[in-house]
Amino acid sequence: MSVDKGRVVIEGIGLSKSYGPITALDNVDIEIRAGEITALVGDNGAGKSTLIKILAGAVAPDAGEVRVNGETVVLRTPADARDLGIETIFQDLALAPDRDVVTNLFLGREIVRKGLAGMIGMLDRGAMEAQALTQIDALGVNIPRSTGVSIGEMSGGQQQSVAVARGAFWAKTGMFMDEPTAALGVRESSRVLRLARQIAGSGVAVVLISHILPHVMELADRVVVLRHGQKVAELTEDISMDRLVTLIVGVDAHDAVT
Amino acid sequence: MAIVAIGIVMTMVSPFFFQAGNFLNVARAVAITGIVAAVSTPMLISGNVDLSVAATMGISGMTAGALLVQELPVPVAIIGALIVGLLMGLVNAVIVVKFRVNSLIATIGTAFIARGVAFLVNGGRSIFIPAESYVALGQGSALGIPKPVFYTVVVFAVIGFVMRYTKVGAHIYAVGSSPEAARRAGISVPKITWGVFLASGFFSALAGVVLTSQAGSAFPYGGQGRELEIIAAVIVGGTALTGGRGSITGTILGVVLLGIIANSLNLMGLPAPYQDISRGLLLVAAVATDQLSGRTLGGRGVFRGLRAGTEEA
Repeated sequence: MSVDKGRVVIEGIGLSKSYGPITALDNVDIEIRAGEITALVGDNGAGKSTLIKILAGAVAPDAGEVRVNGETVVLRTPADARDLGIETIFQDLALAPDRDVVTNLFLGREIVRKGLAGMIGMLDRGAMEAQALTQIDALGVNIPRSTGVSIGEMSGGQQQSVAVARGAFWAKTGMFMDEPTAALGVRESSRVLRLARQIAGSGVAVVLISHILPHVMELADRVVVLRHGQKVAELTEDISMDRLVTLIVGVDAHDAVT
Repeated sequence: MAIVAIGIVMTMVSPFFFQAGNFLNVARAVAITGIVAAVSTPMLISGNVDLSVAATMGISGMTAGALLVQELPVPVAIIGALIVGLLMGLVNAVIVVKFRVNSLIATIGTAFIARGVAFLVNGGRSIFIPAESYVALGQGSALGIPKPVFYTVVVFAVIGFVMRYTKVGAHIYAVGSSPEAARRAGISVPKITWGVFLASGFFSALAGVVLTSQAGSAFPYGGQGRELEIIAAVIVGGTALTGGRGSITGTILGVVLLGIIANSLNLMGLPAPYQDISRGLLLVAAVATDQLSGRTLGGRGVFRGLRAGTEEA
């Protein structure tokens, strides 16, 4: 859909991170491309979450650098990443359960009115509602359109859809999804994953961390395999279950390096 | 609906109940409690509780009294009292934010300290306030309504506006609903906590000023015991003690309902202990009804129906 499809928008170069004696990430290079879904797979402790957190500004690397749109950036906080259009969706819900969809979509980034009313922080509820509903309709998300329904009254899948819709609304560059379906049922998972596809289709670089290999094979344009903090493979074709499993557990490490 | 029901019953019991004059009586009786209940609403919505509000009323009233006895100008006395209130808020916020002490415990502690200091100010004696212009602030009427009621209405309007229409209000709700979600969304939870405690100290001190000007004297035990009455009114009004939910509209109804019950019992000639008993019954009944009917309807408390659609800020 986007002319930018395939352009590298987020880069990690030589990223390393240790927690005490444990090396979580060891000199990893990664390129994340607009309009693609890049899946990040690996066993527990392979470094997937650490890598995502570095790129999202939640963790500072010990070594290496991050580039966004070709420019080296220092991400001190997740807010720095957000300012660059990078959003992260967590497996546990990062929503305020007592508030409605509109309030959650604009949580921390509320639109205030123009002029004097805005100077005292008066909200422009009308503008927020209009934009939120447009976003929900554009994504075809199955959530109650009526405002005033609190998030806590919705199903887990609807809640995660709101979280994804919020990410998509603000993500101009990249959207990281760390096990977004871990808490969801089968049908709800497929809805959320369909959203991921749609968001990539709009030109955003999507990174998906998932343990569920069928999801990965179905969705990903590119699969990056991590093992013991190192990048062991990057696949764009011939992504089979056997191959992925072999790469992830490293049974036949010699053959696995492509 | 509860208010209407009590209103009908009371009109039958006492013809005096349904008169404008009596409504002003109710309003006058709840005015000072109302000021503190108003500011306690964002406090509870943020997931915190401030039990030092009554002691703040006492210590700030004594501060104003002590300054006035020194023949300092009235504005200086009022500003002094408000500064003491802000200091109370500051100390509470430091204990809660920096030392990570649960707000309930923190404010029980500071309440004891403040009450003790209030007794030390004048050796445990009350202070007769000599300044007539100070006393005039809490007595008489402005625009046909008793002055304390006037102040309370203004405070409710200001806090209600902030909670419902501003970014700060939205952030207070978010922090109370899920501190983690708020933090991840870039909202500073400590800032909000500082804000609600400073506001609580400030408006409790204001209530202390109104109380002492109304009485013409400052008492070291001024406001004593009101903290529970205030929190009861806020909770009866549908604000969740666990944070995230509630509204100023609900609190106004809670304050008025408790006031009407007290007034009704007065008119029936029942003494004060019955008011305490009925307050207790109402509080327990309101929260129990709420638990039984589940949390799914969005609002809480006996006014859920009335508040439908008014709750979202």
